[in-house]
Amino acid sequence: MTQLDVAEVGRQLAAGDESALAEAYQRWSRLVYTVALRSVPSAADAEDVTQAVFISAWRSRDNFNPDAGNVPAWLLAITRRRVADFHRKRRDEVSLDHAPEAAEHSPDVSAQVAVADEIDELGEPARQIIRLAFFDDLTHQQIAEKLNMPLGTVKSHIRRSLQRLRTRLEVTHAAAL
Amino acid sequence: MQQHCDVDELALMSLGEPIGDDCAAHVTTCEQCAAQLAEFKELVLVGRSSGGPDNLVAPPARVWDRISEQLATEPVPMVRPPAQQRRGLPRWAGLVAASAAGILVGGAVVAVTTGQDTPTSVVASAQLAPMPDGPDRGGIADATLNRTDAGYTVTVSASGLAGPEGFYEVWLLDPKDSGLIALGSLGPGEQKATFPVPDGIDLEVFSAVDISDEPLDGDPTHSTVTVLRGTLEA
Repeated sequence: MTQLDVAEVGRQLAAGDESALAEAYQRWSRLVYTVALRSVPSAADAEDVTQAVFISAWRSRDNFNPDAGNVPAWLLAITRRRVADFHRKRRDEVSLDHAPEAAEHSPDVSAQVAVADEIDELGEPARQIIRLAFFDDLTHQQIAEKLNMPLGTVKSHIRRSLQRLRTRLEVTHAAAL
Repeated sequence: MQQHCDVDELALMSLGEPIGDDCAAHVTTCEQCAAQLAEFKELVLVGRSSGGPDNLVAPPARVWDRISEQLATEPVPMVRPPAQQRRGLPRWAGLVAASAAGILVGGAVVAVTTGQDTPTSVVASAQLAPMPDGPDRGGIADATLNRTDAGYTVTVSASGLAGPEGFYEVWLLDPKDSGLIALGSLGPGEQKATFPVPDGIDLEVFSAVDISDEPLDGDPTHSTVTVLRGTLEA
């Protein structure tokens, strides 16, 4: 099955196509849920936040401009707001003296999760190369030997992947503003 | 001065790999290369601290179930295929004239209801009544034209309407040219329903709400049996 272009999901969603919301959920609910898990105290709270994010996305789909942003960055911006709502509500419920230190959702969490998601979106062999470079701390020579690839190919995969991840990070930062 | 660093080299450098002396020296004096390196470094830091794709957690299936349940109660703009949206209506000489003459008095109520995220405001309303020479099913209805974040909707509330011979279909009507846009049908026994109005409809032109009794014959055009009609007025 061919995956829809990210921009196409955005256009369909903005046009009010409910199946585009299902598509967005299938592709980016891990993103939203992982950020939520790292930002609110319990998994049940993270489930509530995730639900609220997709409902908000559906209701405010008219505000989404598919030409100006992409859906995952927009979902992360909504996640940030729903997480903030959660903590605001908590603070209102708990008296100030006894309020526990809220694990505020920092932009770093969504940046991390966005980059992790983008690594997953890299095609092979780029994904494997980046995994080996990031998480196994292999040098490009070691990666080239392991994957039996020319050094230059590994180098340019690393450079192109970093540029792609960088773009994703920029979009995520821009949407956070 | 050495020419700029190869971007491949800067990428490796950001990962902590040793690189050639020339580039290592150049980057200390070249703002452009230093900025590129700093961007890559930030990215590598964020990427490594992310734990990678294996650290992304999928929500339990019940989350989507709850979303779908909640969405089922939202007005969804189910736009009908264009062939069904616009069709001419046989001109029923007297009926249209009667409607245009304003047999029905528009209400003046403007209410604002606030949902969680989608405030809905009533921008026009109509009282629907039987046509002078149409069937009388013993009921009346109100219709409101609502503005929501997602566009316009029409809400029809009927009372005392006897069962249809086929089913009741709700339309927006252009009283001048008898153009029709099908909004949807009232379910069996349903007395109140909200229908999304397709985007781009000129509501100055399609200014009346019409409820027809449609036979179960699969013919998507208006049966010409109007049971209630009224003109929307702000």
